[in-house]
Amino acid sequence: MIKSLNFQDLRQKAMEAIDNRVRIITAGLGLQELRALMRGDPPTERPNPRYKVHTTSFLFHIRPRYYQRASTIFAHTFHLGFFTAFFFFVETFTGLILMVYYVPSPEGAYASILELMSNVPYGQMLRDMHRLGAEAMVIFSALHMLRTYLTGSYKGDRTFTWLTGVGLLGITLFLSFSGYLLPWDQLAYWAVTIGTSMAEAAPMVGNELNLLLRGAPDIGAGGLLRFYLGHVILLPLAAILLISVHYYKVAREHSISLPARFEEGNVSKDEEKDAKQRIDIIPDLLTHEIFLTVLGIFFLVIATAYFYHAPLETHANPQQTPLDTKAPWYFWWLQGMLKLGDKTLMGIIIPTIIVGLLVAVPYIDRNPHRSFFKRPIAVSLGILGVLVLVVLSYMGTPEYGIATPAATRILQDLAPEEGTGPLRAIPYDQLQQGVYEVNVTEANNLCPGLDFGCPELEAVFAEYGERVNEAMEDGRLPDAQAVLLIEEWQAGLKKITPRIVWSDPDTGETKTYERHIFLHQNRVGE
Amino acid sequence: MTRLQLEIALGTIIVVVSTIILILFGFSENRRMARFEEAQQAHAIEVGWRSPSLLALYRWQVAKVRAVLDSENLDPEDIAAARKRGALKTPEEQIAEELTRI
Repeated sequence: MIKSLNFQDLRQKAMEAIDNRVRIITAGLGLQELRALMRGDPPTERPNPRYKVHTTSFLFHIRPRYYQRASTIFAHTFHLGFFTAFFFFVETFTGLILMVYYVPSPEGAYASILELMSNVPYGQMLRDMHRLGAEAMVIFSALHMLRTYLTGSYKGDRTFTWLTGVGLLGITLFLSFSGYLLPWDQLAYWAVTIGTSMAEAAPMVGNELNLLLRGAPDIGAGGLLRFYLGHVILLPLAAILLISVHYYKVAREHSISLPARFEEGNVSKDEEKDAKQRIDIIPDLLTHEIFLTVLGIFFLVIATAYFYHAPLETHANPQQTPLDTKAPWYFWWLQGMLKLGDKTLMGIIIPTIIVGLLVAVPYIDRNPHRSFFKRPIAVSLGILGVLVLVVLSYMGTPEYGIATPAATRILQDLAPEEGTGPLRAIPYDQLQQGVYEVNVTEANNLCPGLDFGCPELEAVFAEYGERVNEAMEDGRLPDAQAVLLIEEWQAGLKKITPRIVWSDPDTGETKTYERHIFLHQNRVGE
Repeated sequence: MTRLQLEIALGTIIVVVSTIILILFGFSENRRMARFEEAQQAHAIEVGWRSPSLLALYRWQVAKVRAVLDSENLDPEDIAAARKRGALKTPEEQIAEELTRI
């Protein structure tokens, strides 16, 4: 019986069994075929088993079998849509893990972030990735929309896809905005207070809308819970629904647009034939997408391990409004508009018109051409719109249109109420006890007793002196005297008091402005 | 080498490099977490006892102590004894202690 067993037969039978299992797992691709895929060889069987995957696999059935070569050119799409989707998946994955640790209540939220960062291995990295991914998703979705607009890819069959894209941009902004409040720190609390206060300007329903968002006249437990539920349930569900429709339209109906010159026939027959050549999803585009995903994760890992950390300021304090409060950066343009005039007109009516125009772009632009040069008005308006947005965003920052008294500005720039600033960045050892007076104390030799001196303290003191002298020269701080006091407050804790005294130009009264800053030897950065 | 092969090779290298970076990063996590906790305590002292940050910090530390006690299945009598010895304080007691120290 043993003699009757043929080794070759056994081997063949074993290989067949393995091949069958592999085909079940890969939805139809055998061992030989997988080997050919990895080598970049043509299909090994007829009919093409790589196409079969698209009908038998759940994950691949929504993907098209191929794209036309010209639509995959990097300089045409910059893969902006792909990366927007990539960051959405990053946000979903990191967000699900963060939900395990997060407590959505004013008492527990901030502490749960501290817990995440101090007791959970990779907790800080996870939070950094979530925050960085959110910012990147806003940037990539906005750039994706701009690219679609400039290449005229919203025309014809793609009108509805454009509409879903506008919806997705809105959802992305609100996803990011709703997540802003969750750490419950000063930055979050006041940025969202400003953001939601814009809703108050809505005619007739302003108060109701504000109440709906905040859950009370001021943001508290109710508001935090509403933002949390919106962030983790309502908005992601809406995003998944719209992404599905958006992707289905692209993948199944009209595909990614070709560069205008190919669609409008401005190229030779050979070039057109080459541009419309099929590039299969399996293996070419799939490999490319996996490669881009790996590259994206690599950059996220590098960025969060070495360069980027999500901000966390002091605990939210409704009693104390910090100076330089501003909305999240993607709403600065709206804050800028509010500085220009009536709250209802600038904060509600004009933004609504802008959103309406964005929705109506495919219906307003009846020019049949897609080429950049054949749409001078649309392209000029698009570029002008971006420039206006940039200028308005600048106007939305505290640097524009907010008159801060000179002394307050100088001390705020040296030691901001929230964040680090140059004064807090001075190493603890360089904070030599003493009274340093601007225009009296030599800025270049503040610590003769220290072997290595105190170059950073000297640099900050020099900057302080320059700013005070500038303000004195242009009349904002007449007869100013400025000192920097450094005191040993208790073991391991120093108190720093920058103080400016000047004569009020109108009343002639002597005025004083000072700040008390405590720096501990174990503080962040030491 | 085709583009596909290049992407597979390069992608594999990047995955290996990312994994190494993550593992190396993981080695310093304990130190980073301890440093963060220390820095948070320093920050709470800097901003003062009235700060909600400090209250949050105390709530958080008390919660941690309670979690440890729960995990060790200590009965309420042991907890009361620990309080009596001064080994476990309420947030109010800790704030009062911090005040006298400052």
